[in-house]
Amino acid sequence: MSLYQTLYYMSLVGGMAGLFSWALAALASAAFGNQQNAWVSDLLSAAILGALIGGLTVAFSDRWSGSRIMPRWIVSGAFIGLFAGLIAGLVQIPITNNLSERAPVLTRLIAWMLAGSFIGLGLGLRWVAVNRARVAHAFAGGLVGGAMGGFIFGGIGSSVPDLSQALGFVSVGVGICFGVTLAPILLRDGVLRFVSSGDPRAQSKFGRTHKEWEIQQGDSYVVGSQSQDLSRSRYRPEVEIFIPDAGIAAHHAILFGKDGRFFIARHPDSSDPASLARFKLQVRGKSVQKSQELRDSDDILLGRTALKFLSKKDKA
Amino acid sequence: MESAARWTRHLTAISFLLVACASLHAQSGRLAFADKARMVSCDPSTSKPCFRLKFNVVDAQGAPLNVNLPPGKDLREDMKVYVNDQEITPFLAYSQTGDQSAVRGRIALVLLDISGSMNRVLPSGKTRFETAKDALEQFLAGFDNSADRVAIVPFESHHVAETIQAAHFASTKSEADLQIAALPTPGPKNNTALYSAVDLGLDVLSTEAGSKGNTSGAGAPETLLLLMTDGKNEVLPGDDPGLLDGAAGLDQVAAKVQGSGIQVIAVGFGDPGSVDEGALQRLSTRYYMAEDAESLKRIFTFARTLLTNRIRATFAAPWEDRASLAGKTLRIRAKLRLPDGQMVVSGEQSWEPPEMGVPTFEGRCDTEELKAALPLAPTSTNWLTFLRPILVFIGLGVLLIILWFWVPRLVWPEQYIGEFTTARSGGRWADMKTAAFSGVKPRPSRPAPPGFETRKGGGKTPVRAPADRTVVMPHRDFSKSRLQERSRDDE
Repeated sequence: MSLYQTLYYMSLVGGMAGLFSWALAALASAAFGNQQNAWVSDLLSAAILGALIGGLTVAFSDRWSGSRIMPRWIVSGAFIGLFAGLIAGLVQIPITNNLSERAPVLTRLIAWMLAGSFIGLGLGLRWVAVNRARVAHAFAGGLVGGAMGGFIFGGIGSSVPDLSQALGFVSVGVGICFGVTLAPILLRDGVLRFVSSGDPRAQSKFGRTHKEWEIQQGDSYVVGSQSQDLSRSRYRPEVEIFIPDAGIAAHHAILFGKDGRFFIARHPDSSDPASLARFKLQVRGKSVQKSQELRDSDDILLGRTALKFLSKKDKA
Repeated sequence: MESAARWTRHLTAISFLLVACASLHAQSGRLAFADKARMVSCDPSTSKPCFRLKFNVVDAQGAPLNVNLPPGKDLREDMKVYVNDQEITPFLAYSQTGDQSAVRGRIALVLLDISGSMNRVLPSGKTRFETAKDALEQFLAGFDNSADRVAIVPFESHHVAETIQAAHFASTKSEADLQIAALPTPGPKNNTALYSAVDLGLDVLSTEAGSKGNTSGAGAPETLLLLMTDGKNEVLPGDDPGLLDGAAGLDQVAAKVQGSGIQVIAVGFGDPGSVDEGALQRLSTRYYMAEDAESLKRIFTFARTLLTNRIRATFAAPWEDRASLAGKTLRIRAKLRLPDGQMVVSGEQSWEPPEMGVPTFEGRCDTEELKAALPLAPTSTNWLTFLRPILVFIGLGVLLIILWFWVPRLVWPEQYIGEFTTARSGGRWADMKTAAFSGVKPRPSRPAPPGFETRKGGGKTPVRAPADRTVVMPHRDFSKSRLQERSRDDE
């Protein structure tokens, strides 16, 4: 799947999560209709939105990356999103108490932006091991998404009941996932594109969609064939670029950006002589023993899978 | 001389008129909100969200005004409520005085400052503390054992939370008098945890009002927090840890007062320079300064009147359901025509919905409100209220499905259709190559008829010369059916 397809579908996932969270929040409101404090309703809405966005984005992003969907990661994502929503709701209480009478529209916008930014922050934690800046990108993306949802909810919320509220939730979901996914794409310095593979599993998984992985300075990706069910982590895959090729080791290589340049190196788990002989890693037709710098349009061969590295900086 | 006399007469008349106007203005009243507007559920009388308002009629200085409203008088015809400038007639409005307010009870929490400065002796010979105790007797005048509950709690800067949270609400006047008598004498090292006292007092009063409303079944009781201090918030080393202080502490408590909707009356009793009037104004819904014992007693009487004499109004919102109020700020004003024809108006109060979710009810209508709301019951069920959210969910769900499955086929068609092998140039019929087409294998084309087959190895079909004749296979009889032919052949 291309980067823009990823962006498109992830935005739809966010919209779906927003729609379901609106439905659940409406059901909860109907069930608990009597509350002395308005902040309880906000807390519930933000928590449900965070839980659904957290769970669904983990599920779909893993599916599209070719990885197996792990239930424990979905649960972790949902809990982190729920927790982020709760924190956003609690932070909102003093703001509402102090500002709502003087500036009700601004207060509403701030509430949605807080929810979006905290939920985005929770999503970004999944990639903190890849690049710490991703957390800030996700936070900023969620902030923009929340502002969009708040603008719609506050702007037309009173005009058409239910529809405007649902649109507000859908918009904030779309905005959060769009922002979280867009930041790495906008800031990418390079792209790793699947070309072809002699392994039918990899070919069928990535061949038709020409899967792309965006890379930016500071990122560090593990490339390998380890299936997700063998991963021991609770929230993120151990292998970020998963390629089901028998000729690729479980942890085959590390692709990273440093000091304005990109490199591919043998993973320490595959650096012994037996692995060097068995698992192929070539750049521009030459075998890589330790590490090799990557330039624009370099062909990379891992096992029986051909990838192409494209760099924005080299082109410039 | 005559013109001078004429001017003098004019000036005298004008002066007299000005004095008369000033006098009238001083006596003219206004409606002051005694509680925040609360959205209540009047189901099953009406499914529309309803709002409950409470007012006091006060003068320009905030003192309760005696407007001679008979207790329980129906004020529906005399009162108008404006919501976002839309005029609404309340379905229930009456003056609530004395016995009327006793129906659902009255709860008051009195917080009395017992800092060291309260030992200062006044010209009357009594200390401020003793004067305050005497004034509290005034507050308890007319105590109704069947309706009133009062807690009189001292505060300084030590054991603030324990003392206030242990407040016991006396249900008889003798019990309340005992609480006054048991007030400890102010100590010299006592400072003033004013902000924390109000903060904790609001919590205690809310809890007590909530439990009283749940058990009595007659609706939420009338509440009042009465705060008396002679100084300002002062927290020093040696006082309780975590006491609120500074601008942040004041902001926190002021916001809590505004958000709670509880009527908070602050009384400053002391030298004008020593009382933090600015803070007292922010910490209260109504603020008074007392210079001596008489004014203190008068203010306590005011406080009692503000608690007992209120005007209640309940109206149905012009929107069908709670969902219609999501994201909608309501600006509420009211106007009341008094028996003497005077019109009193209120200021504007804002009702804020939750920022993200659907507004929730802050209580239920009591029996009076339910009866009064019966004429509002719709003659037929409003199915749209039930169906609308379902239709919205289905509609947006269908839209998302279309965006998920259909739009990508337009934007990225190459991923949804396969590659076709086109016929070789010059050839009319395709070779026997299967085209990959989303898993569907097309049937192989039938062989080309004689004369139309493509050349092996590609290349153009040779051009026919003009002399070449097309050989047509002869048919014996075109009119006979194939069946007849077949049967003949079989023979």
